[in-house]
Amino acid sequence: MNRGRLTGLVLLWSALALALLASPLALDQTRLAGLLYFPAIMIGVLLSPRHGHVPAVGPIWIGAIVWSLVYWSGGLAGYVLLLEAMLVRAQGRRLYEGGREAAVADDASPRSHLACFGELLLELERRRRRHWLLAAIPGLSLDQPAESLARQALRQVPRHRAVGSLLVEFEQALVARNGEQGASAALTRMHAEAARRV
Amino acid sequence: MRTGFQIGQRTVCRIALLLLGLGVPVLAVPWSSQSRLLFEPVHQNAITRTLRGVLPEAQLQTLRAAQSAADHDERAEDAQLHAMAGVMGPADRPNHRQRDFIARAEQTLAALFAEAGAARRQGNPTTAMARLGAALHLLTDATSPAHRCFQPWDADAAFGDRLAHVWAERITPAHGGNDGDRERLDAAVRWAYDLYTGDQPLPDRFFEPLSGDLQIPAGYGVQNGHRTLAVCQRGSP
Repeated sequence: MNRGRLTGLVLLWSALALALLASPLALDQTRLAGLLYFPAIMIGVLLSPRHGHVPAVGPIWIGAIVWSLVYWSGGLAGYVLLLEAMLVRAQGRRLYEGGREAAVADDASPRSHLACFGELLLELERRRRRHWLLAAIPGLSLDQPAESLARQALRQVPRHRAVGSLLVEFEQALVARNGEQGASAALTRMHAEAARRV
Repeated sequence: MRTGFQIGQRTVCRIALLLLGLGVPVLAVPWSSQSRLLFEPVHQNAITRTLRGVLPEAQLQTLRAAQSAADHDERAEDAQLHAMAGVMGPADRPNHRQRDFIARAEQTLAALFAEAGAARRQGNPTTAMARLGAALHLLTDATSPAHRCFQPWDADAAFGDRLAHVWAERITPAHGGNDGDRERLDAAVRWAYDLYTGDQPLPDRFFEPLSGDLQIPAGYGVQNGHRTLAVCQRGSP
């Protein structure tokens, strides 16, 4: 995820939410606001002097600011993770489309596995880069053949969430097509091929 | 190389400055007014709802201001001002002298209404409204689900108890909800005003002596006694 943009958006939405709550519309005095901002009230009570029937102004604002940031950070991060998972899943489904059986067969060459993985990764990364909140996989150039792209990804950023998740999808397709053992052997050969200098 | 997964130092500084900018002014606001984020000024709104058009706006304003002023003193030893029974330390908890606080609240109300009436007769509406406001605060607090029937007020209460108290009083209750809390709140305001004007005679007792439940006269259309609140069952026959 693009943390810079995400942070900006969290700050912007938190500020907007607080401005709406504090506006003369008195939205903060609705039941819904109370339920949504219950943790803010908890923080307010926790930080307030003990002798009051209502939380002090300062602590309740601190609670509202903290909870707004937590709420939007969690919400937006969840949205981005879900979005990325859906993009990966969509690419994973392509493995089961007609014409790709040969590419995921265990007797296919490691290079054809790499090419197939690279095609999916290329499309996935194109879609990811179109989205404002998703950051490009660092250092990955899309101006290269699919096989080469897969080699670069598996060598340089194998632990990137998108690459790792797509690899899991790829592995599942291999297992479905060839069984556990065949898939494991095919993946080992593919990784070895990716690591090999060409 | 800068990637999307890094937050630059400048961004961190901006966030820190923003939080500092937000934090400093709100920390400087003192503990005084009841009107604050996420909390409705319930007393003030009840006054506006019930007495708008009855009293001039300036007097309404004095009445509303008296509500915030009354909440300046929230010490356990003055809990009768909020229709509660103060708990003064751990030894006091088993028997929190509820009847003492009921008696003190009765005396306070009698004195406040006498002072308000005297100020009114002397043509001093500001003092009259300030005294009526204090009496009104006590009477309306007595209708709060967190105060009703002189519940214990413990400055050292556990976090959960304090949170429950705050939550119960956050906004004006809905019509007909929780055994008619809102209707009792508005009736208490009307009754206080009628006591001030002399339309209603001062009662011998404002509260049921055993339970401490506020005894609003039948003409105000609300029922006294609480069907579910255990703390109000003490005085039931």
